[in-house]
Amino acid sequence: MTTVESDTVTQLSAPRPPSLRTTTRARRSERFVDGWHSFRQSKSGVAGLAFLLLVVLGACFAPWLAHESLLDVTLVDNDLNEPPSWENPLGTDPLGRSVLVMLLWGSRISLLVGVAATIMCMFLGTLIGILAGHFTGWRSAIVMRFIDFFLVLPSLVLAIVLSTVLQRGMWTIIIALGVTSWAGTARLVRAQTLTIEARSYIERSIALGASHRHIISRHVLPGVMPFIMASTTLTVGSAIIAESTLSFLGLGDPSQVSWGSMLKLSLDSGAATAGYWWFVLPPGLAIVAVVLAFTLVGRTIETMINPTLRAR
Amino acid sequence: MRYLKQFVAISASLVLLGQGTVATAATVSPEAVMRVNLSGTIDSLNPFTASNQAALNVLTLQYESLARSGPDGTNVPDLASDWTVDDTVWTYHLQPDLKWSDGEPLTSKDVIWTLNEILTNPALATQNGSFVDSIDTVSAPDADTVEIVTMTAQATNPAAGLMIVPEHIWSDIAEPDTYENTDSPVGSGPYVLESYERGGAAIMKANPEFWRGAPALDGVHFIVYKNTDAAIQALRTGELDLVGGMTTAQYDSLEGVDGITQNEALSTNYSNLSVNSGAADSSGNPIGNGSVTLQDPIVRQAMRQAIDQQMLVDRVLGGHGSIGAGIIPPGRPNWYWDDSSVVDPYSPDEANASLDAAGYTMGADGIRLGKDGNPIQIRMSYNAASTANSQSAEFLQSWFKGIGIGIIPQPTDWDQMSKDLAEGTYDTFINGWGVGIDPDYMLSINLCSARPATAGADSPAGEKWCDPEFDRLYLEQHSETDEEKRKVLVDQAIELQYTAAVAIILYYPNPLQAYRSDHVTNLTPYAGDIDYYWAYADAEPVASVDDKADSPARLLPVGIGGGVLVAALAIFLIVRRRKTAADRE
Repeated sequence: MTTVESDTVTQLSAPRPPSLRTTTRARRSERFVDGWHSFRQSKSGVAGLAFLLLVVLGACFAPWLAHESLLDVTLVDNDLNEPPSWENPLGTDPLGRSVLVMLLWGSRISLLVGVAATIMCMFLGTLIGILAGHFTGWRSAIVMRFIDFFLVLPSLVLAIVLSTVLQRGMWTIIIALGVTSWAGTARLVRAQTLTIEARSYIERSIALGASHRHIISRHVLPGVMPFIMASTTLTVGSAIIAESTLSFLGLGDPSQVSWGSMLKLSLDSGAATAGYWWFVLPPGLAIVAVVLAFTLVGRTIETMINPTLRAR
Repeated sequence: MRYLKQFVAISASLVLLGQGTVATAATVSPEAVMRVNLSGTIDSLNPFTASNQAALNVLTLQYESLARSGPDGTNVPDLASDWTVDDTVWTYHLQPDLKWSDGEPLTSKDVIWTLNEILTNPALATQNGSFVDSIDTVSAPDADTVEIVTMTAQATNPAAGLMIVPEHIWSDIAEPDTYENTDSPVGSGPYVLESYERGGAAIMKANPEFWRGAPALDGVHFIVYKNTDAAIQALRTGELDLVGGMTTAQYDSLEGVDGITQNEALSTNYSNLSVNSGAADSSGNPIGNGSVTLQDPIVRQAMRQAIDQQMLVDRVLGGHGSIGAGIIPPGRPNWYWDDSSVVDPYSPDEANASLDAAGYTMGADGIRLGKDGNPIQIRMSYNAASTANSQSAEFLQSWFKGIGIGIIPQPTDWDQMSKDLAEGTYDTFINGWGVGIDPDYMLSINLCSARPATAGADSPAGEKWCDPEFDRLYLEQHSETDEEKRKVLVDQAIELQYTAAVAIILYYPNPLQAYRSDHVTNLTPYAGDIDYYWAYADAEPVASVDDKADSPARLLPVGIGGGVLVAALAIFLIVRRRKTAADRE
């Protein structure tokens, strides 16, 4: 009896319009599908994305593809600086480890540091950028001077100093990179915030008594999100390069193999002078390829949100 | 655009790796000079305060001593033509008609002035502390004779290697300890400084007044290269004549190159793991924060047994080195110690067994528990700028983990390490020492009195370890004039230090050097080493100078590497350019 009753109730309220949440969700998934369609238009974007997926899969499954013990210098028994062969497709390093295995494991650190530093940079940049754009008068001026201060600091030098003072390790590098690179993003986000807030629906919201919090989270943040997305993918590339630079300078985590530390070892051991190209080239090319892939994807997203770029 | 700049920066450093492609034509110098790669930086050219090898290489060419260690390791005449010893009285007779490079006569007055300065001015004694400690009086009976009276009879020549400076120049200098001594200095050696820029090249010209006769070359130029790779390219193209301090890969790459002769000498250095066995100041008060576990000799000995020295030599040094146990390397054969009845062979199993027996139980994660019940975690510092040290650290970490001792690697630099050392704020660190021809100094830095006066004070002590029995053996060998009896005492002292396992020898690295044998010849090796005084002083030009640049084929792979990177950079830039096209319009 109860079931019949409830059925009746449902039938009675049937002509109600779909809830706000459902509409938003439907609109978002529609937008995502649209976005994916226009992303697929760009061959270079798809190529970059496919390559990145491949690299990420390799990094995730590295422990199963090549056991960690292959990196333990006391356990490997290959010759030192062996040229490429079937057994070691990219040869061996000056301590007898397979360069291919090092490259695979190095991608974990390079990607992890690159992505984590970017997330940190994006979080700081978005937060501070929106605050600077949303507020006006002296509050905005203070935040802007704060941004300007970080903008003029030479980020690489600051990162070097930070990773020297703090204890060495992966997290130190992530923090050093994140803290030094958010200022550019903050200015971008501020500019976007100003454009959005000049629109009349924001004025209407304010007239209806909307709080700062409501305006920022409901109107401004969704509006700047696509720009943050595009900027993120482009920033990951630069963060990977910065990580490699720091490792190359010997400031990385000593217990982990990364592409930058491979380059450092190849320079220190004189691999270039001796003509051991199989140890000099792969880490450099890997950095170039991954950064290029991130740039391609980032640029494609940018064209999606800014159609004026499409025709070019 | 900020990240773009970083990209350009790292691409530039990648391309730098391939700098061998830019092989400039060798310049034939109108005068016959030898160009030497100055490895390391010059700390000072003041003979009283200079301490690092690069500075001493320059200064020993400029200032002669009364006696110096000859190519075979025995003391040979220098400014003094001969000397006699009568218990504590050392009498030196100067060579006839000695002159400074400015033509002024060099007499016993100069010698006495220099020695007195060192004895009376503590600021000038920094590099000659052991001399000051052992001397009673110095005097000059006449212009050609010097008399040095030591406190006790001693085996080592008190004046050997002690650089003598001209009184007529130095007595006018108000503060000799801070004097830079780079403005046309006056010397007595085969070459004197002509010009020098801080951090740059030191140009030395021949001294026609040199007592052994004017040298065969017009000059020796010590040139600074940013890294050894660049120096080797310069050697290949003939811009440099002598390069030392190479890595294995660099050394091996020069094999069979026309006009270049390689030189591998028996090692006079050791690389060791220095263990903080309970650092204390010279009055015995503990300093620093070293691990308590390392105060147990059983742990230190077990760590030593876990090290496979042969693997380090094969892998880190590429076979260019040797293994051993004591603090005297094989390049000093008279004092080398390797007593197989005492030395523990490599055996991780035995190391594990002795740790088990000593009550260090294995924790769940494969790390043993210390006496306080916490897992043993040992800090290990090393100079990150040294390839061999960084590589050794990787091996040690793995081996120590194998016997249940956890390692926290701490790559750092020498400045930080010297500070930690002086304050005792370390557990272990990878160190190395160059060992002189006489073992006296190496032993003296292990005396109880060599420990710092207070935490952080300057001290030569390597390990801050103290054993009264060792001190007794040191004093006995110091005054033992019979070489055979002295050898027995020195052996006992080294064995005592070995048993304590405070300076765990990793290996003895052979110096790897190469020179242009088509430019210079007659480089007299000093215990096998040609990057030293005797080689510079005796070098002669080769009659017909024939510059042969390196064949491009060898550099091809590196060139391709550079090319690919430049191409990749170009693609990146083009993509970026397209991206920012809208902004620019």
